[in-house]
Amino acid sequence: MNQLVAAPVPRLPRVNRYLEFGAGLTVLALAVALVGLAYSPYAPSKVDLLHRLAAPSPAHLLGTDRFGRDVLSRVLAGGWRSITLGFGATALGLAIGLPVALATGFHRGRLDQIVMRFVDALLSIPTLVFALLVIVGLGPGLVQAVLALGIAASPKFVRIVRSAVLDAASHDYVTAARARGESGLYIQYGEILPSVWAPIIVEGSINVGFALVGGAALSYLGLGTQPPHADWGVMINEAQKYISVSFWPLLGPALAICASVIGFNLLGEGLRDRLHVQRSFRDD
Amino acid sequence: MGAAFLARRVLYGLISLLILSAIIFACTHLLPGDAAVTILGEGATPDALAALRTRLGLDRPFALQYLDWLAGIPRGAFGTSTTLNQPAGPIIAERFGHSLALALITIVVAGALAIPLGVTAASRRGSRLDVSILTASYLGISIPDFVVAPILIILLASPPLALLPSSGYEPLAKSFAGWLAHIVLPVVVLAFLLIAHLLRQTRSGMLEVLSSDYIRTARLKGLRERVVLWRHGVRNGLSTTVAVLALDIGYLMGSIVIVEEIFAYPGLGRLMVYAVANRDIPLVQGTALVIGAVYVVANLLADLAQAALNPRMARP
Repeated sequence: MNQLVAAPVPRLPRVNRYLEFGAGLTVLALAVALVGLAYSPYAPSKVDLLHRLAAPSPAHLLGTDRFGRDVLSRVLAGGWRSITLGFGATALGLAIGLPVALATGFHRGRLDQIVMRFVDALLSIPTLVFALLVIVGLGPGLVQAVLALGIAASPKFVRIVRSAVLDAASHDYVTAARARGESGLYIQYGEILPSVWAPIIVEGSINVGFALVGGAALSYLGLGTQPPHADWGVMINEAQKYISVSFWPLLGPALAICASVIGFNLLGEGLRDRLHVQRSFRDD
Repeated sequence: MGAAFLARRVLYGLISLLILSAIIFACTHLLPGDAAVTILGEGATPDALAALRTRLGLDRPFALQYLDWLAGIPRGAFGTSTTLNQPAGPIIAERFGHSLALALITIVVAGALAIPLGVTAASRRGSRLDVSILTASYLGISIPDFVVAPILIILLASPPLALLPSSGYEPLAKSFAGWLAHIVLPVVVLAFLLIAHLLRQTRSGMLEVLSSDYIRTARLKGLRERVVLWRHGVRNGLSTTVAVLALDIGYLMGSIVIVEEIFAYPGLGRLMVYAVANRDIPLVQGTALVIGAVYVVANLLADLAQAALNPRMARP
């Protein structure tokens, strides 16, 4: 430790610090969501009109909201919805994006060109706007928000994974598999997929944070989780209406979202460096 | 840059928009739900529903409806808003103007702050200043705008300071001071994210350039560091920044959805949220298409700017 303190020039944080810090925050966010499923100090919807908009105290560690509901309990109880939005949307985005990326990157040709034109067109509307388009058809709600954000994330996954697939498909082991007479599906899923997992993990991790914010944004707009159920986006929306009276209802959900997003982003960036995945300048 | 290059890029942009229009139309028409039911409510009689479907043209083949919609767009016709009972085109045009003002001011403010900060950070790589700028920009990227906005409202738009209105809009024609006061907070929130993003791009672009041979030559010639950095380095180091700046206009179009809603700013984003919440299909289609068009045009500008800065890119 002494050498670090005595170092003449302050250094940039080392790469693995990102990874460790990100992993720590990620585990914390997951722990909050898991604990919230089983335990909260108060019932999350218990109204206490005598203690509305209260500052933090031993009885209410994060204060209370405009109905006197315990903010900590609501952050815990709503956590799984916010985390589900992040993970669910990413899983769905990959489930749609991976097969398309593998098929187009492996077969190339005419179909690939047509599909990529569609993907480029879809990438020209912001993810949140695309998600809103899907919400128009599906209506508001938590499940619908997961579906919308998952569908909206899929073109990005197609783009990123396809370029990794193109690279992998030019290697000798793929030529060898072709020469052995393996089926196209086997080569895609048995040979190429195992070698493109690094960018998938990196982009997946970053997308969890991104989708978590997108989900909170949809909930904030009233199109995701529906009150009286809580998630962090709903809580921020409710807190903002009374912000001139009290700051405290905002603090809990805001910290929860920021910590989770920073966690998943740092985890992704740390993994990117650790796994030596290239960054394209358009997706920073 | 050649005319062929320009023509090819414009053609690509138009094809992208055409595909996007088809996707938007399909998204809003093939998904479950029926505009007639949405307008008249679940309790409407089958006769009334059928009559409205005929009036709206919903009983015609899907492809014909799409072509009809598409044919109106060059004239600025986006159908009739089903909740406001007005042509959607003029509403969208007015709101788009408000959003464009917001986006352009944000771009200028963000560029003016982010580029000097990024160049400075790159020129003192590894210093305490560099690390602070990087860390702050990391927070800027990670903290969602709907968290930044309430904090700013507490600091600047609530007692005891209450310097600025916390929401709303005042037309420029009515009062410049009022217009400016209402636009400051949305711009700050939008710029907060953008500065972080631009700064990181500028820094990494500059770092690449600063390690190149011609910069070493300039230093060996005995030029002052400031001249090396700002005259020799910036010119090449900023070519990615320019591209990213243009791309960020498209990215801003995503952020305005939420920021306009927070500050009740009557722009395109807020209009889209209204349209989605009320299932006003013509408004949804129009707003989504305009947002996509902004991105496509921004992309085109980015390509052209990069080609102008780096003529090698324009060659096939």
